[in-house]
Amino acid sequence: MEAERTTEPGTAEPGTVEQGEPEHRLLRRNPAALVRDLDTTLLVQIPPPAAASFDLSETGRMIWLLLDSPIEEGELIGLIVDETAAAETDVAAIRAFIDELVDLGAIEIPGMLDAH
Amino acid sequence: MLTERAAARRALARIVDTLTTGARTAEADVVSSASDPARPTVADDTTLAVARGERVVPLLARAMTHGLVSTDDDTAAAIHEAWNLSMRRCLVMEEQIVWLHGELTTRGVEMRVLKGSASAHLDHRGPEWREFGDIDILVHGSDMPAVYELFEREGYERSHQTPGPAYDQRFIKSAMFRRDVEFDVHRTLTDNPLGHRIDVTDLWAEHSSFTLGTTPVQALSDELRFIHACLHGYLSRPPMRLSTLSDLLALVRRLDLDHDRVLDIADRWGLRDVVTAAVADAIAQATWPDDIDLRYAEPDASSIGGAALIAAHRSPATSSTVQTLLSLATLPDTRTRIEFIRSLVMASPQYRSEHRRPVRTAATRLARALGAGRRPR
Repeated sequence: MEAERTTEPGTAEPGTVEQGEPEHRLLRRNPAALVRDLDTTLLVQIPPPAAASFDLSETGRMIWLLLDSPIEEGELIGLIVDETAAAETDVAAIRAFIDELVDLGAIEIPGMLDAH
Repeated sequence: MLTERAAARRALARIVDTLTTGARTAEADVVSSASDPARPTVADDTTLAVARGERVVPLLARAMTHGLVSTDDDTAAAIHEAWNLSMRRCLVMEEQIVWLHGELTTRGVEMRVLKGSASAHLDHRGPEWREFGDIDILVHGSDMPAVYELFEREGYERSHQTPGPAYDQRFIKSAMFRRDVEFDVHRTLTDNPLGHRIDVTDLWAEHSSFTLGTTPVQALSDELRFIHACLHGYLSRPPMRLSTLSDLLALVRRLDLDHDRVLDIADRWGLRDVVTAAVADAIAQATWPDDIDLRYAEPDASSIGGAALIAAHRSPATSSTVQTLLSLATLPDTRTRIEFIRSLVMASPQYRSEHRRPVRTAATRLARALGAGRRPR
């Protein structure tokens, strides 16, 4: 499920995900991201200042596609569970993966950006 | 008999033809538009090598996805890997376009993205369908020094030197800068000599737009992108690169392309012959039948003189006087030329009365037959 990073991230600010109630935090794609969807793999290039480059497949790609418009994290995870028939134990892994994408700068939490 | 590479290229040209049909329609329509999906092309290492050289790896990958190409597992994996690598490189280049757009906007310099990235976003089913190897941008001639200064400051090196700034601002087609990616900074769309016929103010009169992330960037209008594809495809050493063929076919098939406007601009630039020849050449490349020797698919004359002589025969503006004068170039030796001229001097009074033209008229017709000078607006 991990994002396969092809270059190191730059100055993305990690640790922003600890704030707020995870279930209700609103998530959106980083609108500055440049992408190519190759059916099974999604290539993502995040321009500076985050400056990251990675591939998403399977659940990662699904998360990206579901974030076509902003969505609450709980709803996003529910959709993924429905789509993949994920077990209860997988939900924690999905949540951790979303956090990783936030750290990479691929996913943003609009309310927190405003706060900054 | 076709070489392996020629056969692979022909198969890829057919894939280009199939996958550019209705290129702005939904992807689900691809297979229904395929000419013969029941008889897929076999792709091997040679097909992939040719696709790389012709910059159509994405179309080969898409053809594989849609069952238009059959291949073994190893080749399928290699095609997918090549597609992944080419798209990763395109993303790096698009990041550079975003950077350049920001820098030039700060300096008050207008730019248009040409070919590659613009074609990928505007003319194909999606940017995943078109790869590109460099970044082409158009700027005003008067802005070229500011753009050069920016690239040099950022560590880009210019590939070819020119006579100087005055030449670059008024006459150059493009200047190339290289670092980790390559930029071609264009002033106009094609090189000497025909490039001088292009009225560069037309290039800035209207535009199309697409978005890279959050950055809206401008490209040429649909009609100008089409003309550019024709010029780029036909005024280069044949055969036309398949990525250019794909742009040309995708655009010429668009239902909303204003063909009256295309031909009006091409006429004003004196380049209608090039545009029409490019389309005819593209269609021949894409649909050439298996049972006709491919050597007949390249009818271009191999020399300037040869092209001029053929034009003298084909042009409706060529008089018999011009054809007679040009005979001096095709007669085998001096002695035969003298005999030819003598026979004309000794011509019957009836012949001379029918072919009495002042020398200036004949010279004018000769120049016109060779395509010299800008055509009247």
